[in-house]
Amino acid sequence: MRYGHGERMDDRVAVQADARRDTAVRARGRGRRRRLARRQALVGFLFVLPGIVPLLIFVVYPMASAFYLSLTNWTLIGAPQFQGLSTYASLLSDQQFLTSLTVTMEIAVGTTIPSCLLAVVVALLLDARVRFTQWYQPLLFVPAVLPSVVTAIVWGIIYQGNGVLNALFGLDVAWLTDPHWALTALIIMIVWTNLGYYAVILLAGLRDVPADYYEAARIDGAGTLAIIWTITLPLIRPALLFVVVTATSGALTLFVQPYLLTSGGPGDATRTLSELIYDTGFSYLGIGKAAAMSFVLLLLSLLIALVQFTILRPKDT
Amino acid sequence: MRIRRLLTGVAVLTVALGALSAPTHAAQPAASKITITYWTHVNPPAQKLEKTLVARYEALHPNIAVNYLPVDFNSLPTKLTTALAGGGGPDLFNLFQSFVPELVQRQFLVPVDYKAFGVGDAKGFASRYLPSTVGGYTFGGKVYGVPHEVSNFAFWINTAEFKKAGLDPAKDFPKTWDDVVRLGQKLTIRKNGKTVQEGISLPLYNALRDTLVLDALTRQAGGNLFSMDGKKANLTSAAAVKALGMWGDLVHKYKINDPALGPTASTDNLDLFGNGTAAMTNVGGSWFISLMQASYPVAYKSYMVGPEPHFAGGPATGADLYGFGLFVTSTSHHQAEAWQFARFLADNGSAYFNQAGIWLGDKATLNNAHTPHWDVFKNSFGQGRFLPPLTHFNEVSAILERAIERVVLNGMSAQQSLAQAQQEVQPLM
Repeated sequence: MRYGHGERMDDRVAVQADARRDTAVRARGRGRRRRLARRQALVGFLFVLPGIVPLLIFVVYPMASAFYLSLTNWTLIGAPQFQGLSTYASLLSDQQFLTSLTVTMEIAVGTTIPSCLLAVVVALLLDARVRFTQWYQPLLFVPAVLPSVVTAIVWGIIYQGNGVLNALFGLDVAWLTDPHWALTALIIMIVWTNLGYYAVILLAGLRDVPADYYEAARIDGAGTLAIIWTITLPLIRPALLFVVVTATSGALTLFVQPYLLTSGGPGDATRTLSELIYDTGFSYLGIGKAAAMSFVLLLLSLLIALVQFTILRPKDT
Repeated sequence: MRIRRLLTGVAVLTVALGALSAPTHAAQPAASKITITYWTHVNPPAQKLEKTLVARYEALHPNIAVNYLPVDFNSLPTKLTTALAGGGGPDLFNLFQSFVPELVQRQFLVPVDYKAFGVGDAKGFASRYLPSTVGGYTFGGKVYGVPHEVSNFAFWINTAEFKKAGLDPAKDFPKTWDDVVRLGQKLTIRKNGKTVQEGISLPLYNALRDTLVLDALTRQAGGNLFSMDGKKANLTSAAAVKALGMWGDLVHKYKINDPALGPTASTDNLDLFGNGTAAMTNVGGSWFISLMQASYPVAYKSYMVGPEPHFAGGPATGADLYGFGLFVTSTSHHQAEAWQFARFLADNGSAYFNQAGIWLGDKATLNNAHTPHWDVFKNSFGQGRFLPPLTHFNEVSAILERAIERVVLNGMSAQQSLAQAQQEVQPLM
């Protein structure tokens, strides 16, 4: 077609046609990319689906159900009757619940602090690379791999009035039948069980600390304790955080050892919250109350973990 | 692109295959074969016998298979209730009768099918048993269980330790709790200030057994822990306080029992008697004889058993009856067959007694049984009675267990401990 400018008009049309063509090509490209992205997302989703479905079925759904049951007074028969938050409110005046909560917190503090301190000491000793560490390490780890039932039964025998512990040290302590000693006995057993496991984790953290830092510190005249405090501990912070959180959460949810060693006795001296939840739910069939106690324990555990993460998270250098 | 399509196809195929291969439901048995599931508590001598009985029953009834499952005694009530609440569970089970009122209240059980026992009514059924026996399996006027192991506690002494202490086991066998104290002080041995042998081992950390003992002691003191209908608790009565107070005195005042020696949560006070740590014990039924023979051959050669002591001047009411029963579930699809199998087991009273030391509560075995010291148990069965039906037996017995521990382990007064227990129990009655 000829315009006033003849060939230029043809060129302009051609350019415009080219431009339209380019736009169309780019649009098709964007569309293709979007379709590709959607396809890729779908493929990715299908691959993770076998992981998500069990999570939904075995974790999310039961938790949601448990929360609903905690708002009811269900005892396994009939339909649950909605109670709102009254079950939670009643826990504030439930003496057994408060006692078990206190016992649980005592166990958490009583096992976490000694476990972590001793694990650091043991890890430092193992890191010193003295001879025969290849023998010490497995031996230290043995308690962690023993079944809890075996540990509880063996310690039950050790703690007897005429048992090994009293005979060895010439003591006359009623470890399991004196309310003042029963909790101590339980704590000792738990610290013994977990020490090797935590020490190995901290040892792995220690092995990651570059040797240059120690060398530089020694050149600067730093003593052993100063090196540990200013170099070692800050650099193993992530491992330490893991140990502290694991030890605390394990103590807060402790069930097997007190159940087998003392059945929560004498009196309620060692009755943990997990044991009370089990008894309330499965022995006394107070499902609603047990669910409420479980959620209180969950919230408490989350709160404590949050505080621990805040205090112990690795700081930016 | 092709690889992506291939991977997508593989993923979809995997999920589809997984869904298709998931079992939809168990293959149905042949129409003529019925499977009865029978749960019972662990008791090795009984298990050995029951396996042969099951095999015999299956041979007699080729269309019936019995799925036999012994479960730990302590976890059986929980597992059973949970299974029944979920609509499942066994067809027939053997359970301690004190746990049953709660199951009856929750309508998990069906009354006994008298036709399976060849009788028309409760009276005909009860005629097989002692009058005191069937009462323990009757709730709300209906009989729900077949007595399957009825027992009580007797008093056991180690004759070798008696002789070592210069005592005559036959003449000096204790008749009153004062006798127990006097003898216990002679039989308790201490070395370097530590008790190495206690005069008497007492139960602890066993809520069920402790409740039976406390109830029996309270009856001996002239009272009752609970009303006969199980709806009222009398834990602060003078008789209950006297009973628990005496229990605590054996530990703290007379020092013939040392809780530091045990039992613990995982050991039994009968172990202490069996291994020679204690010279006397106040628990153990006729079933203990075969257990001793199997586990404590030394003690088995030097034991003597007699009636439970009583308070001086008080009624000789002996120990509480307790027992297990066979019960059929309301969730069972084979209730008639389950009752017939229960009848078969109940008809083998002699075998249970001779091979497992278990008396099924029936008159026939009671009168024909021959075993050392059987007269002791036979005479005391008429004295005792079952605990009243307590709907929240688990929780009530746990409260009583804590009350006993407060006195025995913490040294609290019986009055104070039982007052606390009464407050805890009241809402459950």
